[in-house]
Amino acid sequence: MADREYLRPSTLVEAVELMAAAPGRRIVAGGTDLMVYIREGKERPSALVDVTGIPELNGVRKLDDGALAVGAAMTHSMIGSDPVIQAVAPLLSDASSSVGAVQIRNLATIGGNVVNGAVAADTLSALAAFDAAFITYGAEGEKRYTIDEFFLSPGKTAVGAGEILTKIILPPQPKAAHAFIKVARRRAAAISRLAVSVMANPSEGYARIAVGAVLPKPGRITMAEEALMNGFDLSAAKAAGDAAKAHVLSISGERPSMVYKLPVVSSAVEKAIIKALSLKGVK
Amino acid sequence: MGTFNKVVGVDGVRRDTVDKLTGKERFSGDYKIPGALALAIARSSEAHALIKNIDLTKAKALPGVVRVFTAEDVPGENSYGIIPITKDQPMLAAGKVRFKGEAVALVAAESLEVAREAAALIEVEYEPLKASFTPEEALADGAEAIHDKGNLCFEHDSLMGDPDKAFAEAAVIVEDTYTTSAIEHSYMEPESGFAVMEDGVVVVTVSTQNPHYDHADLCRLLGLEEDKVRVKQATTGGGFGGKLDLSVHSYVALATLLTGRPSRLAYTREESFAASAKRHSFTIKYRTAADAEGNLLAVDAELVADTGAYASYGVAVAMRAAVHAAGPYMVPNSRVYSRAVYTNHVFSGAMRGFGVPQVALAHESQMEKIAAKLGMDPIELRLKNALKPGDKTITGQVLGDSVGIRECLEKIKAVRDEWGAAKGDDDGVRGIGVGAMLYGIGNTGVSNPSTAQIRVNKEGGVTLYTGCADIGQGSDHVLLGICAETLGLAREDIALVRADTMLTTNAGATSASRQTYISGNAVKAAAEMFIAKAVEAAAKVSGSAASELCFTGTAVKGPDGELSLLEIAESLRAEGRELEGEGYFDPETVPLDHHTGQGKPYSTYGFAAQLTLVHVDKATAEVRVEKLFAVHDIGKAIYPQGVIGQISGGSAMGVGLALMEEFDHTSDKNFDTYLIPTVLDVPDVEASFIEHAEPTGPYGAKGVGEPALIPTAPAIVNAIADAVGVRITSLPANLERVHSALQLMGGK
Amino acid sequence: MFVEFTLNGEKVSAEVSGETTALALLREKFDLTGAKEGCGVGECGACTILVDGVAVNGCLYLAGKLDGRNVLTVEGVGGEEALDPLQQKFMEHGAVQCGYCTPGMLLSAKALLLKNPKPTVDEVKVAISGNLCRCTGYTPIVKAILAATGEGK
Ligand SMILES: Cc1cc2nc3c(=O)[nH]c(=O)nc-3n(C[C@H](O)[C@H](O)[C@H](O)COP(=O)(O)OP(=O)(O)OC[C@H]3O[C@@H](n4cnc5c(N)ncnc54)[C@H](O)[C@@H]3O)c2cc1C
Ligand code: FES
Ligand code: FES
Repeated sequence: MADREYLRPSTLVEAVELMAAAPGRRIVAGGTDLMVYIREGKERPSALVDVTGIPELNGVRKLDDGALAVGAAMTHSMIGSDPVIQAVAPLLSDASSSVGAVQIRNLATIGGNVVNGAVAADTLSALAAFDAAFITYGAEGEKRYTIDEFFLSPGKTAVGAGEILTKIILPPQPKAAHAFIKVARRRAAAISRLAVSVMANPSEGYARIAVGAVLPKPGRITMAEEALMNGFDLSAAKAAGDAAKAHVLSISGERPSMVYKLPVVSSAVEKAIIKALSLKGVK
Repeated sequence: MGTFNKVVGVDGVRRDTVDKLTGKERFSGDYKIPGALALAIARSSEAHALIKNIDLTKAKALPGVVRVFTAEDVPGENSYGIIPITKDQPMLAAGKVRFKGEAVALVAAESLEVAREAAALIEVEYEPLKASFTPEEALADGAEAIHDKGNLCFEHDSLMGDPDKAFAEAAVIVEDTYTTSAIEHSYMEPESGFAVMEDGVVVVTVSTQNPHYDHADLCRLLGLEEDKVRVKQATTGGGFGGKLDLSVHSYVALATLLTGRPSRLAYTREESFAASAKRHSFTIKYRTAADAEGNLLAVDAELVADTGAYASYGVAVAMRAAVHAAGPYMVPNSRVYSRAVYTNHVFSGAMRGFGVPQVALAHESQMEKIAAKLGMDPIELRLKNALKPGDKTITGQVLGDSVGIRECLEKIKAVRDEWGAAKGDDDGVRGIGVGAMLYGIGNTGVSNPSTAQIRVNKEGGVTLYTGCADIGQGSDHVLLGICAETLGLAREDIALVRADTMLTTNAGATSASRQTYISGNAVKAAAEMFIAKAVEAAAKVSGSAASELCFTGTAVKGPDGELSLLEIAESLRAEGRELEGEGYFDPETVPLDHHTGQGKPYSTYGFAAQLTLVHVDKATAEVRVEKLFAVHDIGKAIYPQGVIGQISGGSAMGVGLALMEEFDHTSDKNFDTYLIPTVLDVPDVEASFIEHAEPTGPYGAKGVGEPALIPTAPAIVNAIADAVGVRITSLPANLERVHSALQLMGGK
Repeated sequence: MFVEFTLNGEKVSAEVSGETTALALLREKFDLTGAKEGCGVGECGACTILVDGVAVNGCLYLAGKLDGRNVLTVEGVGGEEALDPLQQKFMEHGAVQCGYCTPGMLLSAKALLLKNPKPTVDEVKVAISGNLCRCTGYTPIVKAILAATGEGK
């Protein structure tokens, strides 16, 4: 058994070179997905290229247009406690704070969460609500993907081998109330059965709704957003929930796992809206 | 005698605590063993198949492989199992595999990597047989026989009074079918151990609950005399019944015996999941009859347990479940039919409660249904029927004095009144539920003695010798407490030698909540004999009358001064005797009649009731147990903090059983999909106990290990039913089941 | 790869290959066996160690990442003579049964108190929610940690 090498480039260029230098190498960030795959025998990389020390992947920056650039190597703990992200994108902070448990959040990165691309990955619905964009760096230089271009299918993203996700861009949004709901079989370290991300501002007529763990790829549910914008009240919340359910049904169908999930999409979206907008009193 | 110090009932500090807190404590996997061979097991890919051929060529050719073993290399009888009538499990499959994950071949190599690689290179040719994955399939016509005797592992009948007549005359009859799932013990330390040869003896150091049984089955498997095998219990990271069966023991023993070299094996969590026992899943058909005032008249229950590919503790589970089928209530007429059925799942064995948590779901749900039908308060209904001293259980046993169920129920009633009515909030609904139980201490209707010795050591102090395995629950502390109290010493004054088959005698398994009661009694008897012997010898030496002498713990004092234990020991040695106290205790039982199930299965019972408050989220069906109050009648708390710790730990396990644990034999490989409660899933457990002293118990003690868990799941399910108005009859009450209950509620 | 790091206050170094985990390195090379493997996949927390004061799963943490860092294991938390207040309170509250989860629990609690000396009950629970304990039901552990905040630094 050949020892895998562990490599730790300090620049993007070096990282891209290292990746190209031999076949079978894999990028690693926190390793919380990759190390599990290696243990399970699902992955056998020839070397691990650790990108967490590269400056471009670290930190949060506000861009000129007001967008937020989140470094791909930021851990979920950092995102959960970063004052800038908490102020500008608390929805994402909440989503990151719901990942795994403390030790995992201290190690796992948002870049890994996104590139791993699991349907139930907890940041995806939040990123969808933001219409996030993704910046990568590879042999052909820098690339920018929309969320729709980035996620191809469950577990599959557009990121090629040797291509490094450097930043996640959150375009500027109006000030909004938000709620993130995660439903799982237990309260820590559990994969989502369902996640809901909501941002809304009635006075601006602004609504963003996305769900996680029930769709093959992340994206906003515009039908639900429109339903909510129609009043931002309890009945609009209910209508938005129903619209979200109809959307999920049209894409994911009536599979056995949906017997629970489908009705709960509707009630959980409704609940998230009520929570975000403090619309007291579930009927 | 012996109350210079008060030890019983005072917590003190367990002697293993500091080392466990500083990381110094060594579990078996923490030792460095120079020259040890690493072992790996090739496991069956088939659930049920004949083995046509095993090709070891590639594995043997791998550099670093020292030897590969198959069933043919097992020197003794290749069959083991805890219960003498069902020793049906091979350590390495012989001709046939009965579950996916069964051990087929064993590799010994210079490194773990090589051993594992070699195990993967072993090629087994199988001829698949039709597999059965439920008892119904296994018992159906045309099912492939898993064992020569067929697929019915064990059946047990119990009959008392005239249940048919009682049902015919009843004012209310309620019935339902309840199911529970397979559960993984999930002790945090996976199975682990190592073996070395010492002067021609195979010495196995292993994580276990049962060293003397391990020893007997190892002798049988290896074909060795008793004095050629020694089992030492390593510090054990939890067991809960799952470390009663042999695991790594036989493999390290075989490899070391046949190579002469030390060897070690630690299961990965994946291996532990695949190859260790599970809690039996049950299907319970249950009918109860009561009169118009709520007096129970009769119970009719049919229990079917999936015992998996091998019997393990299946017999004990099926029998104990039947004995406890009516719960802590007086039921004059009963019929119970209980079966353990072989399937091609990994074997089911003992797990905290031996089938009683499963039947408790049924009897406690039935009580609620009767209360609802009669419009009675569910606690009042239970109080009305609760067993009293002198009452008869469904095995015809007349109960003795220590029956604390009423007091338990009265306590939870008071707490329920304090809590007030459960009120919902914007997010959901709340409910309160009760669960109650009785639990027989010790093995069912069979002799299950314990022994202990106390001797003077070189330093002139005393050493307690016990075969009892402390698996983390603190039995060392309990037994030392009993020993210290009886001798008039502090725990710290006593040296302990435990769970080593060369140095200690059989204390029986650490299971069935029996060690405090049974081994505690053995230790107490040993201490009493020790005192008597010391006093008698001192009388002889000093010429005083024994009545003038007083045992001080370290000496015997008389009118003319005192004699130290060493001096007394010396005088005895001159006569060829030893200053030693021998203790023996076997609880009084009467075997159950084969046809009627009548007898005296246990000499005493623990009782408990628990109360929970749950919140059910209306949007997502998530259940949160917000409060849990537990009260247990344990006879006497020798180590109160230990009792509270058992109740709190058992209740948390009960939350898992109630809400999330369901072992999926095809997909659950590790803790990523098999979920047990985290700290955020359990309430702060408010644990309490009452002390209805058991006259035959050491200082009145009974047991608590398993009772801790039994009432929890029923209490939670009853609370959910209270909240949503719909009863869940299959465990776990997971998101899907609670959601459909909520939808039924909405439809009402 | 050659790594140098501080381990329980001492400078150490080791040669590690790509897949070596911090857990394997500490147990095998340094014979620090307080951190345990309970699952190997990040779910149980028995392998918890602190890296630069932050709790991580030793079973997932690549040893190569240790270079230049400061590692604390249970062996560095306070000895038999001078127990850390957390250890003291774990002892008093019966928070240790089998002890397999204990080193990881202690370190998760330690990381919390380093950052937040006066945590709320909920913060304590979140801090140890990545540490499974099958024996105690957690109640005594939570009580012990809260009790330690009275004396913790
Ligand atoms: C116990 C446990 C609990 C978990 N709980 C949750 C949960 O609740 N919710 C959730 O969403 N996830 C959960 N996860 C999954 C995992 O932690 C997350 O997906 C995490 O964000 C992955 O990040 P990482 O840095 O560890 O990724 P890694 O394992 O390092 O990488 C994952 C994949 O992404 C690639 N990659 C990483 N970074 C980059 C980059 N910058 N550019 C290109 N490719 C890259 C890697 O090559 C690899 O294929 C859990 C995992 C564990 C072990
Ligand atoms: S061993 Fe690392 S989390 Fe279980
Ligand atoms: S004390 Fe045993 S797992 Fe926590």
